[in-house]
Amino acid sequence: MKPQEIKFPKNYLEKTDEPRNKLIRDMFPINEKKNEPKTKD
Amino acid sequence: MKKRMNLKQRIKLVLNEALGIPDDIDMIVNIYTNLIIEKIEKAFEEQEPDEVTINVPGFDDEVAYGYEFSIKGEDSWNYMRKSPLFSKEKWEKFPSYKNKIKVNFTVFPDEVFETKNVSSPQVGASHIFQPEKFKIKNIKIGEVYNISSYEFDINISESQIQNLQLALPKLKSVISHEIFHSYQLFIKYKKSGLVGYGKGSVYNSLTQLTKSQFNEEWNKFLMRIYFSLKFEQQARIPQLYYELKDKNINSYDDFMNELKKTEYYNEIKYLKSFSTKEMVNSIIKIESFYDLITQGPKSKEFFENLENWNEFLKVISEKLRNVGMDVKDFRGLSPKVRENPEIFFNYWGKVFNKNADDMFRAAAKIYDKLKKD
Repeated sequence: MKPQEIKFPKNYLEKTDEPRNKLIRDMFPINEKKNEPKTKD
Repeated sequence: MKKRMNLKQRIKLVLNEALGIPDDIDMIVNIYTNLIIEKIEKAFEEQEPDEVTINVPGFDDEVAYGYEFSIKGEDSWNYMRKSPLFSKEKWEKFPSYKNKIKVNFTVFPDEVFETKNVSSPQVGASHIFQPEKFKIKNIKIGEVYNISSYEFDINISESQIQNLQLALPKLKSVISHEIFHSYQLFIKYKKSGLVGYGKGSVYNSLTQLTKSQFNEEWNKFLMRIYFSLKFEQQARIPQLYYELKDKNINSYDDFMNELKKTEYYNEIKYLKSFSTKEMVNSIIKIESFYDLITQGPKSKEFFENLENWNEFLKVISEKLRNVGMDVKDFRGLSPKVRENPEIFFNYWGKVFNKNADDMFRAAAKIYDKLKKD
């Protein structure tokens, strides 16, 4: 990305800790949710 | 009538403030932790989970169970004001009000944590606010601070979900980190009328906007910049304190043993492990066929980033100002530091090393505090 291409959306939200969150997401990768109910024994 | 603090309580308060663990957040940290634990227990008992497949090698046939819920701002406030831990006197010092809390928790087999060599739970979290709507309002009950919302992404083991008290220290420590971010903004606004983390917000955006598709080493370098942000370092102090608080630490050996198990300690090691040589090699060295293909784009991307470094800072500062953040213009890196990759990464290596040392010093002060608690 070039600096001139940077765009911040309207109603911009400032969010903390995204790099750390990505580390954790990468540690526990899951596929998309399937909405299948859990069956209990 | 207001209760006066005795001398011991006043000393404890002053000590906490000096260490960077504000007494003002303690009540809300405890109340929100209870709220989230209660809601997780309720969701686990009553809610039908989503079944998700795990993308961890060796667990291809295993499933995890995902739950999601949101706590509305109105509900978080009602829970807080009705909590037996609530004190209006304490709340007035940090009048956090109707905060939306979104929780996503996923229950994994215990073996996934063992394979990854990490403890359960592993908790992702964010503090979120809209700068344009930043305001401290006066309403019937007094001054309220109503800007924050929180997101927690909790990965927990099957055995721990049966006994959530075991997850409590980690969960509380992460909650304290995010509430501290809200508190930082509150105090800054009260003292100066300014919104945001200033230069820290600019670098926080930079670490997101200049991520590389080709160079994982560059992304690790950006991660170290994030760990070195002053407002992030400050938030890690209460986080560490709450993580160690109930570990029954009686000696320096106990302290070091427990410290070594924390994320905080891993972050110190991560900052210390930065190598200019490895970083430079990731841009210029060709060791494999993959390098041969990717080295061109990697190198081009890096030199563009190096050349545009100050322009990035300038543009991000402008964009942040346009969305309501208070960011003063600041000098970026001198042309000398950006002269070549080695000088550039040597400069950052010194920054990371200093921050790692600062983190260790802060941890040592927490040990003093834990002894006195």
